[in-house]
Amino acid sequence: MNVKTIIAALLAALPLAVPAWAEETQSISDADLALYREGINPAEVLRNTGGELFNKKMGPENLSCADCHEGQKPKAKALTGAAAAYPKHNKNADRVMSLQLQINNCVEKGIKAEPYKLNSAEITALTLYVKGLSNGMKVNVATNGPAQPWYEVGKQVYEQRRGQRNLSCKTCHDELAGHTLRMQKLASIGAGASHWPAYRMVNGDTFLIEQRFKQCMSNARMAPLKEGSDPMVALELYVTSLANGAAIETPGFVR
Amino acid sequence: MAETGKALIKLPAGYKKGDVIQAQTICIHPQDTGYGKDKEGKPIPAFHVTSVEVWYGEKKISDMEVHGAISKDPYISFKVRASHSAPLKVVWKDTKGNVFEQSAEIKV
Ligand code: HEC
Ligand code: HEC
Repeated sequence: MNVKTIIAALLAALPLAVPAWAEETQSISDADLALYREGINPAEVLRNTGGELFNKKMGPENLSCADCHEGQKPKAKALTGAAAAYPKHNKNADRVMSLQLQINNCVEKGIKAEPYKLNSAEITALTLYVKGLSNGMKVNVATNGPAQPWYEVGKQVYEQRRGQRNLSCKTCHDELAGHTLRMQKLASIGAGASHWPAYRMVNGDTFLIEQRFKQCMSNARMAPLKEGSDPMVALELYVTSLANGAAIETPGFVR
Repeated sequence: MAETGKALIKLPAGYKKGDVIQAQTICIHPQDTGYGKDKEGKPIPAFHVTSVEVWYGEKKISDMEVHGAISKDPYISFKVRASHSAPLKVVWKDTKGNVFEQSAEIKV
């Protein structure tokens, strides 16, 4: 397959229609946000749960993630620093995988258990834990080689205007950066991906970056893409590549 | 996966015997006021923390009563003098009779 056919195949799942609506109603000032950041990030509790899941024995062979990735005779390498390269191309699966997909791949093929739902608290907890093992290291995702068509698609998804308001990610995050939308400052995403998964104050919950994308999509009345779908993973790769070189600091704490 | 009731205590690093330190604690808890409604319009019953106790070793050093829902995932911060080595334990109780505990060691 050449790059163009791969791009066309990946884009096939990008809906251009109008979804049901959802709105955000609250906003929090910078001063308040700074004050809250001095406290404890509730997502740290979920990360601890992720650590427990990492060590929990499951499946027909009673295996935990730690059994393969840690200990005296590990079957696979330690995961320190691994998350910095995600989303990353996986040779065996012949696709780019988000960290969530890679973790589920290990649940399915390594542990031989039922993979987690991609919007579950469990996958968020595990992702937070594994990404935390790369805290302080620099985001370093590849956008060339086999990842290149995915990067191109991600950029296209980012720039594509769609939905009822005819907006793209780029409209708000680049062209209108600095302007105010309702009570909310629009800003460039910049290196933002380096602090996801993050706790969102307006929801009082912890989210994966793909879930944050979905929230932006429904606010902009674009049909939300499914977590783990090809265009979604491509978008995650593109947005994460904008953070290349920035230090990973998770869990984030945002509006 | 129920996170409700999971708690965390944070102590600062590098304190000495006799120092007054700032302890921080959080408990994952919905804090439903009892005034809200769900998507079907049915009232959501009150579900919130009713008291927070702090124990330093064998001694109860603080007892806080909470009479209504406060912020989701409530956060409490307080000062304590690190006079001896002992666990600092925080006990959260709620409107459903749940009791949640979490400890951190004060070492001097
Ligand atoms: C049976 C052994 C086994 C178990 C159990 C296992 N893994 Fe893996 N894991 C591997 C192997 C082998 C690889 C590398 C090859 C691959 O990508 O398939 C890997 C790769 C990974 C990677 C990517 C590392 C990189 O540098 O790209 C992550 C992240 C990961 N595993 C997380 C997990 C988590 C989280 C769990 C528990 C849910 C888990 N693994 C359970 C064997 C295992
Ligand atoms: C209608 C305008 C609008 C559109 C369109 C939009 N966003 Fe957003 N986005 C926002 C606002 C507002 C925020 C919150 C900024 C804040 O918290 O200060 C945000 C936050 C984010 C964040 C979190 C940034 C951080 O540093 O934590 C990411 C990531 C993001 N958007 C990605 C996207 C993607 C990807 C798209 C396209 C699918 C998109 N957004 C479309 C307005 C928009």
